[in-house]
Amino acid sequence: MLRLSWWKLLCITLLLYTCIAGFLGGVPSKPILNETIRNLYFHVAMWMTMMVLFTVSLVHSIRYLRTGKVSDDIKAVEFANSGIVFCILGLVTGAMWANYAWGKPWSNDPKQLGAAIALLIYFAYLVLRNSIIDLDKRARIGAVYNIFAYAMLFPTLWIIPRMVESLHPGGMGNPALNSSDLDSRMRVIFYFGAVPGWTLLGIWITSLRTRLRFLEEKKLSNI
Amino acid sequence: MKRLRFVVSCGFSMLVMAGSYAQEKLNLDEKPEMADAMRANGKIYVVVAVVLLVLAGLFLYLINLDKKIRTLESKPDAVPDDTSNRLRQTGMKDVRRNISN
Repeated sequence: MLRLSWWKLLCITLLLYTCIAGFLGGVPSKPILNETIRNLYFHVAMWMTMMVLFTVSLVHSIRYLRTGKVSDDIKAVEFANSGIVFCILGLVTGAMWANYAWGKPWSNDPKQLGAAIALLIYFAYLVLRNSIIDLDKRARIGAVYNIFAYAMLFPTLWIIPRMVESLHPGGMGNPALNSSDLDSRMRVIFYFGAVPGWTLLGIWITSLRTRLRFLEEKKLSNI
Repeated sequence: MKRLRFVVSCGFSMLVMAGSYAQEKLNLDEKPEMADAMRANGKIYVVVAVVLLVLAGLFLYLINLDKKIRTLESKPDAVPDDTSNRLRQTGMKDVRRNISN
């Protein structure tokens, strides 16, 4: 009755584990953060998922430029769409958390600004695609822009926020996810539950959208 | 130059005062407040249950969608309803324009 692929069942299991252990598991007691340290499994995991989805989108864009196959273009745009969704979720969950941890939802923090800029760059990718009528040109120019958009993720999200003073952990050159900064109980739930779970969810949603797009393409070519 | 020095020293003294104000509120000797009360009276399980309910709804929706798409893929003649209606209405030859990104 329930003929689901192994990785979809794994996604369900991992996310159930993340949500149960995320609230019932032990966490260090830190001032200011208190219990919201558990946001690691939700807010931070969104960004990890987004990076994976954008990377896969990039791979498919490069593949499209090499092979010219429409399937690669469809996968590139659908993975970018899902990446954008997780980017928005990351910004919103971050703002909700910041409202209570930092006093207001938007503090013009370098990482918040960087994430907003990265999101705008990917929105521009969608606008660019929709502005080109010819489908081959749309795919080719879109693929080239996708490569630039991916490259821009690194200065906006990973490099500049770590170099400057920031409310986020990791500012002034001290990355916060290293072995001495992350509690070992949280590390297990984060790297073996949250990150793979949310990533598989993103991939599942993308695969559904891709299959739907393939169906549409097939019907159109039959008419 | 004089005005700049004045502004900077004002700002600096405000910062110092703000820092001392923060010290009054944040007593680092006390243990940070955690949700131990919620765990003691079992309400934490309500939180978990609510989150699991939302997750369950999401998974049921995805599984349902997966099944529908699988059915469409196995039937070679099935056409998604809105696509065929849209094509009939617009009568456009370049029908791919109707499919948005």
